Amino acid sequence: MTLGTASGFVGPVIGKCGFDTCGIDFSGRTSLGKTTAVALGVSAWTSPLLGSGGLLRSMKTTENAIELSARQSNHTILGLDELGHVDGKMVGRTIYLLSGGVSKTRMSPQLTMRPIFKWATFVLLSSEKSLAQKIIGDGGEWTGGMAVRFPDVDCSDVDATVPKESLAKIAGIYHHFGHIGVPYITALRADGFDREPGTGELRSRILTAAEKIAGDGTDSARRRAALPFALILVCGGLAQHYGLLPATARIREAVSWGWRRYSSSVEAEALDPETQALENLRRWIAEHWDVAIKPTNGFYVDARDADEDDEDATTHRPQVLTYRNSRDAFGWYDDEAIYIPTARLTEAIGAVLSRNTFVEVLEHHKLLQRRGPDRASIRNVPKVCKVDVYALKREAFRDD
Amino acid sequence: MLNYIGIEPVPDIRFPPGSTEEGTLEGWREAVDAVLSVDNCPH
Repeated sequence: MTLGTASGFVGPVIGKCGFDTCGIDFSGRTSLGKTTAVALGVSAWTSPLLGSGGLLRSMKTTENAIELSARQSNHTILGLDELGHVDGKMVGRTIYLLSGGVSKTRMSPQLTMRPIFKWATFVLLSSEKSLAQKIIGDGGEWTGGMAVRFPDVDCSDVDATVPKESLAKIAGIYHHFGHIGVPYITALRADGFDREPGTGELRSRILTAAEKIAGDGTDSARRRAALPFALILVCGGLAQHYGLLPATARIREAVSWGWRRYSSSVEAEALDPETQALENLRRWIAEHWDVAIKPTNGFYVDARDADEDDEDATTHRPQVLTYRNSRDAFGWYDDEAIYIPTARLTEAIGAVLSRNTFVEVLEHHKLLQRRGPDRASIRNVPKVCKVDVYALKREAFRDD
Repeated sequence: MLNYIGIEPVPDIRFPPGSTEEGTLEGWREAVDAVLSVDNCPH
């Protein structure tokens, strides 16, 4: 709940320091306090009651309504609950819509362009499934871009037992809300954080914190994913400094916990698309081996072989060749290579990289058994047909 | 109140009455203190 509470202080800094909209998703089974964590952040600015008109909104709505919510939450906070009620593909589109920071272009009845909305805000999401599970489970595509904008914090290990008297006090946020704006902004202004060079100094402080959270030697994607945590750390620290949050709040520990939970999640794997693409390809080959990926010398079998015990059948019946299986072929293999049609490669790697980029990965790791004279693909599958394929080293993808 | 903060006013979009402010800052702080004193709730 510390992360949720400190999140309430991030929005104005996002606005003044020129960061894009980002946020955090709290995931895990029901009754772990995820919605309460989101409500705590929202209560800093508006009513945290769902349906009250405040900035805690349900995802059971349209994309146009989410645009309006994003605009209303400009430079403050937006809480989105009940992700389970909407299709994962819509969740994916919403992530890009929110982080894009600009509304769709629309035409007026007079055939002129309507003015567009812009926003920059901090978003807290809560869901029972992680964002990746939700989006992939509903047939959507999980990308590294989503993983860095809204890192997922799995709350499954949280102890959900909260004393009754504490729960009663926590409910106070539903009767006392919307009060931090004036004192917080006034304090930020007094410190010069509403104009240069203050905003520059604050921005650089946050970026440095993100680098530290991500760890030494990490790539830019991981540093970007650490940004929402860095914003919470720095802005929560400012709120403590201004006396708006108690000095005893363990914000640093909460941020470390959140980052650890994120780093060990499936979501974080999307930050390394090269590895993910190779894993996807290995799995795709294993799933289709000997079914849709067929041996180059094994398309046809002699029907007489089906009756091996029947000597009469094998010696006297004429040879009748039949397909070993009737599945469409997705690829072929022989002793040395696995042949994947060029047009199938994107599907085989789960579309996490472009085809050209992945071919560079294959060449870099020397995973091609052979290549054409002026291209990575070859023009035919031996003994099968003339199809453009990539000839992958069999030993790199199969143990048999 | 939200418009007062002057970060970037949003005069074109109104909030329903009573949804932007209620109670006191002290009341909010008390609730938050209770939250932050609960062990093992880092989220």
